Amino acid sequence: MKLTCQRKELNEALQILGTIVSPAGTRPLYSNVRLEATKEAVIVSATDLEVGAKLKIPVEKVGEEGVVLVPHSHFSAILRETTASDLEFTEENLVMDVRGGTSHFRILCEGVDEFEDVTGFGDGPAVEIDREALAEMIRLTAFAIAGEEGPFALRGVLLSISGKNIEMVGTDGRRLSRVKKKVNNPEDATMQGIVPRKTLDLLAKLPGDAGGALALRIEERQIAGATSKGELRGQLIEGQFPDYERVIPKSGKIKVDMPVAQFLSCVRQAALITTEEQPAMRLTIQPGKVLFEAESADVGSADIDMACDYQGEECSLLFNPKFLIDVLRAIAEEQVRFEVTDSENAVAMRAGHNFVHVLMPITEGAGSGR
Amino acid sequence: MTIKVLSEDVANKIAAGEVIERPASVVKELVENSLDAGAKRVEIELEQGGADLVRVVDDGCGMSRNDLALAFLSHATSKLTTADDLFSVTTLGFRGEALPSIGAVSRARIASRQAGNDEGGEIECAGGELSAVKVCGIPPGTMAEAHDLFFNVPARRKFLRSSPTELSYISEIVTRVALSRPGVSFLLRHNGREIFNLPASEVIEQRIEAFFGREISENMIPITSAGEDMNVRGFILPPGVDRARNRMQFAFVNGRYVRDVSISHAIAEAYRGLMAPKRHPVVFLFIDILPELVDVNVHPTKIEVRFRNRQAIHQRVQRAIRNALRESHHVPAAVASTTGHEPVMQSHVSVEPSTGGFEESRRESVRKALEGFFESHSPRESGPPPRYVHPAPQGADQTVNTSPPITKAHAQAATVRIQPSGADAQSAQGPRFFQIHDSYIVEETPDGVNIIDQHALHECLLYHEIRKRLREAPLMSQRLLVPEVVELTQAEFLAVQGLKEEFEKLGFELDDFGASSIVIRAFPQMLDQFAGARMFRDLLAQVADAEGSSSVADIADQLIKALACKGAVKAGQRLSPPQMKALLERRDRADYSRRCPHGRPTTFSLGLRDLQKEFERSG
Repeated sequence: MKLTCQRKELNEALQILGTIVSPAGTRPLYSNVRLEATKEAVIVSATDLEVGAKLKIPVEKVGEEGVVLVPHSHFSAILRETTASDLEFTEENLVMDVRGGTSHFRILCEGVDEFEDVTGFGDGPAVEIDREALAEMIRLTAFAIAGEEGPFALRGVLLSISGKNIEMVGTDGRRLSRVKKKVNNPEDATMQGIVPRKTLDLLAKLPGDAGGALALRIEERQIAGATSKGELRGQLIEGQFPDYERVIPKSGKIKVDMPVAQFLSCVRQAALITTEEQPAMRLTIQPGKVLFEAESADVGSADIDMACDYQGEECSLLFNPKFLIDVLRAIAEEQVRFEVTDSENAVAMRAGHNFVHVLMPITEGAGSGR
Repeated sequence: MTIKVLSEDVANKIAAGEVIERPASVVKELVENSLDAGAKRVEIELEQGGADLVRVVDDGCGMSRNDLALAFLSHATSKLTTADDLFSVTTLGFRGEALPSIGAVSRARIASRQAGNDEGGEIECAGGELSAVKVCGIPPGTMAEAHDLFFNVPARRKFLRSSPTELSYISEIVTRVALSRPGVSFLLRHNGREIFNLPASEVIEQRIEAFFGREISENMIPITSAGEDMNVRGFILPPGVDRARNRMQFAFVNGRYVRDVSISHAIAEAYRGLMAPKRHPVVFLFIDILPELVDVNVHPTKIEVRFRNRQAIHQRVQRAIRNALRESHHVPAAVASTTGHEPVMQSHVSVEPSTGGFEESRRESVRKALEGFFESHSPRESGPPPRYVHPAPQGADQTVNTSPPITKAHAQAATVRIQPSGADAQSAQGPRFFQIHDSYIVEETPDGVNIIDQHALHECLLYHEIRKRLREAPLMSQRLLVPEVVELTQAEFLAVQGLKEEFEKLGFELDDFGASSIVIRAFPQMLDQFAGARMFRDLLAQVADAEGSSSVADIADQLIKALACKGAVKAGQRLSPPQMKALLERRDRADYSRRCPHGRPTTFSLGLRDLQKEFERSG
């Protein structure tokens, strides 16, 4: 193999693949990246057998085609530390020479025979969505999914496509985010699957042209994505996603419009005083203002006011401030509509036309004689 | 001191103590008598957890009036006559101890009629005092009842637990008996309320479903292994449908529920490599063996047996289960043959059965099992290099829930350089610490080094924290968007009923849902993630294990321990530097931190002096 390639682009690709490759020592073969030189481009790919990505980098010149496995750790470190703008790679008998400026490295490589390469995007019905729109959808939903201790089916975002609509839902049983957008669906395909966190992160990062589209297809067990610069394929989570439609309140009794930035600031301030094990903050909506209160036996207390345009009866709820911070940080709009039914039922937070977040309050223990 | 021969009354009471421990033992003995009498229908009626009344009515062969007169006499039995018979016992009872024991410690009455006779007879025995046999009218069969158990042994009466607890013991006994005899219908009533009503059934599956719900019955895999002197059959559940305790392992030898170490061990061996750590498979085993190959006369309660050839039993059970697991694709070849990581991962991807006949849940269970396999094998055995602390202030990103994965480059750099550059910055900012094997925190102290078990420490802090908060107010409840329905066994259900108030104080919001399910509307906020039915059952199991704790306060304490254990970080869980820092800071503020609630130490300290000694430095 012999080629010359821009260091910066290859470095960026290796950074993305770094989130996929297996940590040192666990599965040696898959701590490598696969480097392939073809006539048109260099293709680097990595997989952990759950999710894999294949990225294409245009090259100045491919002297000789070839394919080899390179240890990701050293390869990416070299790309990061060297200073030359172009690097020249020459591989022979599983030893690769990397030259750039005054630097010269020799890296021991491995053959690709045993390596299970990432399957490409393939054929079949697919939809197209703006890359940035998809990244925004992921940002608005991925924070709400369950962690590693949570129920299996909730450890990912449910992605559904039907007609011109794409919808993503993430929930951990206490809160739920749903966002909808439009897609280009030339074959009118209907598809659905639960996409795990790591795959979502990669989908959001998959490089492409500015303003370009991402092609997406959900197969029976896998999700595939493709841009002009890369392809991705990952396993879906198999499980029963809960019937989420019925937990989204149709409309709350109390509706208050709040400026997101100020709301977030108030919650963060109140959160400074909460206890670590049971972080709780009281949010009280009164005519003309919203009051944020927190108290901790060990530390002290906090109360913060925010003016608002509300005339109606007073209503007070307890929340885990972390959950409010999560959603407020994700919202890009300036205003959020806060809808409350009562202190025990879910509140809905709506921003723009397409986003709703549902959050269950906490209560002071059922034993306290509610 | 003079030696006296005990009076018959005292001797009977002592003997009774071995057989009759609590109402559940009365139920067990009476129901076994009914089954030995060939009953097709057994009705059990209880009052106050059986302490006030246990009544068992059957439609068995009944007793003549002559037999009745002997029923309460010691070692009177219809089931064997010579000592040799002991080695080929086919009935459940045979020692002739049950009725005299019951008669000695309660106000007992038996009425019985044989099908051929026009009238029946009855006899009473109150605290060992026998009445004459009287004529009475009764349908064919036998009615045996014990009122006021231990009325004449106040010390024992005092040790009976609350009525729901005693009922849950009885329910467990009846469950075992009913599982061994699907052809017999059982009815259990407590204080007039029907608890089970199980019609006779040809197949055991229906009965299993009635007791344990569809999660179990729909995932069962039949096992069978026939041999000359022994048949093993039954059902097993795939890894994933498992429990935190081994109470859901039922073994019946010749129709008798037994607990046997070699059988338990065989089950564990068969599932080896498939279960997540500390999980136990669910198994229903029915072993038929020639009566002369098993000795059931080991203990008065007959729950232990002795096999002539334990090896053979062990082998047969293990093989039968292993084969069934393999045939149902639950033992991927890779797992069976090697502990290498790649093949397992591949099977993770491809083991999903391609036949569409498998239910979703079954597929998920495979996945879970493999996942569990990973949790237990990959991070610890592979020994990832220690991650040094970069104590960057957490700042704006404090709510991002995952720390950025450490790249291989970082990790390797850390192993190569003993003194990473980050360490210099560290020392300026307080104590140095890092995590090893994702389970322990190593911390530099002014005069040495601490090695901290992260789970034990966190559990200890949580335990004291919860107790402190509970003195002031109930714990906070996080409500669920979709309430979670949990199917429970009758015994678990009753345990929940008895502990409802305690659960609520801890932040659970529970409602009954049907006869043996509950619905969870809220859970303690302290549990950062609620993992549903499985976690709830684990909590219950831990509480149920607290044998011997009789007061509600003790049980509540057990529940707090269980909650602390569930809420604490696990061994094998990677912690970010800020998380470690927070944990250590909380320890510094806490009053107690040296031992976890179970009594295990949380910290192992090594002094500089010890180190100097080890390296033969003269300090």
